[in-house]
Amino acid sequence: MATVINDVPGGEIEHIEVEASLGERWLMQPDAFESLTGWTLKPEGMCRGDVCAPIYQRDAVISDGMIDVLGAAPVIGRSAVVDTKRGVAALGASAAVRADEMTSLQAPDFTLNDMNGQPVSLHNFERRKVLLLAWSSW
Amino acid sequence: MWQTLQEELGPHGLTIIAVAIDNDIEALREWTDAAPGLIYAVDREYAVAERYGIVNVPATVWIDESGRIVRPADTAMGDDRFREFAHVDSSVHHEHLRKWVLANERDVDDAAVAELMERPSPELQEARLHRRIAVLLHDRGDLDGAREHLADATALAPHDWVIRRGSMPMNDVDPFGPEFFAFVGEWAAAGSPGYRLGTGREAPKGPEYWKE
Repeated sequence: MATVINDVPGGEIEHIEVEASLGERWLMQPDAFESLTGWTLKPEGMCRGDVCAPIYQRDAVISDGMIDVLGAAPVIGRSAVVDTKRGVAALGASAAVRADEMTSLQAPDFTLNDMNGQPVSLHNFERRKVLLLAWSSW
Repeated sequence: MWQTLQEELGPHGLTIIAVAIDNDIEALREWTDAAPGLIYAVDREYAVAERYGIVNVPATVWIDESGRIVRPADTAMGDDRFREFAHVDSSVHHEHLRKWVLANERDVDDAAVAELMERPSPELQEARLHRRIAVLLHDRGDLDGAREHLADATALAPHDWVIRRGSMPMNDVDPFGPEFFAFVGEWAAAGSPGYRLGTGREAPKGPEYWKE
């Protein structure tokens, strides 16, 4: 089993255990990849609902019927880093997707823990003016 | 002081959410104990930092009652303790804040907000992923693995303060020490990339600005 740190589009960051083949590449069975990302491999390309993204570099994306996560990420609008040695990967938004989201000026909702492990969500403060203060200990 | 501002402007509809861009909760406790009157949240994985274009701290983003961003991320100091180093007059932000909270007057309009939000490069997105892996490995006790990924992150985004300076504690480096000043010099020589609004800035940002 391996761990994927998955920055779920429109949601939060989840840590998910997945079945993967880890050698030179991080490879997953198509159904495991679909379970992780919501995208299905079809003859037309990578598809989700009515949308199919073409695969131009098949060798980078598919190996022996398995999906290469690093190669597939840009096809589905995501960025990826894989560490096959340590069995940890991270999937996030591509720069283009993140930039596009910023155009709307809508403040993305979030849920983080406070200092006591209790959840704090932006949506709990509707009808207040909110000052988001980003700070750190460093 | 942010807590003072919360006390002053809370009755007029303002809530400050102090999001720590940090994975070391114990290091944060010294600060949160000193100012218990604020709402705190801990962004260990830089999720909020990424979504709001936070590239340095301290910074503020303003969100109105309908959930719209009305002021983009920009440097904002609570007080003037770092004024000599950072060349920022902290009172300028707070005056703008009062006008917004008390009179709904904005100092930055929607078009400017859209323009000023810091959009990431593909390298910065990749750097953020390396940092997330580094935090997970650090949590598991794999310090070598964490440092390898932090090195990858800083190589990809050498001028992003949140990545570069934010990685110093996990690398056992003093964020106020010589490596920090070396980084500041590099960053200034690269044109001081980052927030462009420049609230309360007191001097032009050339390399001389950051002399020790």
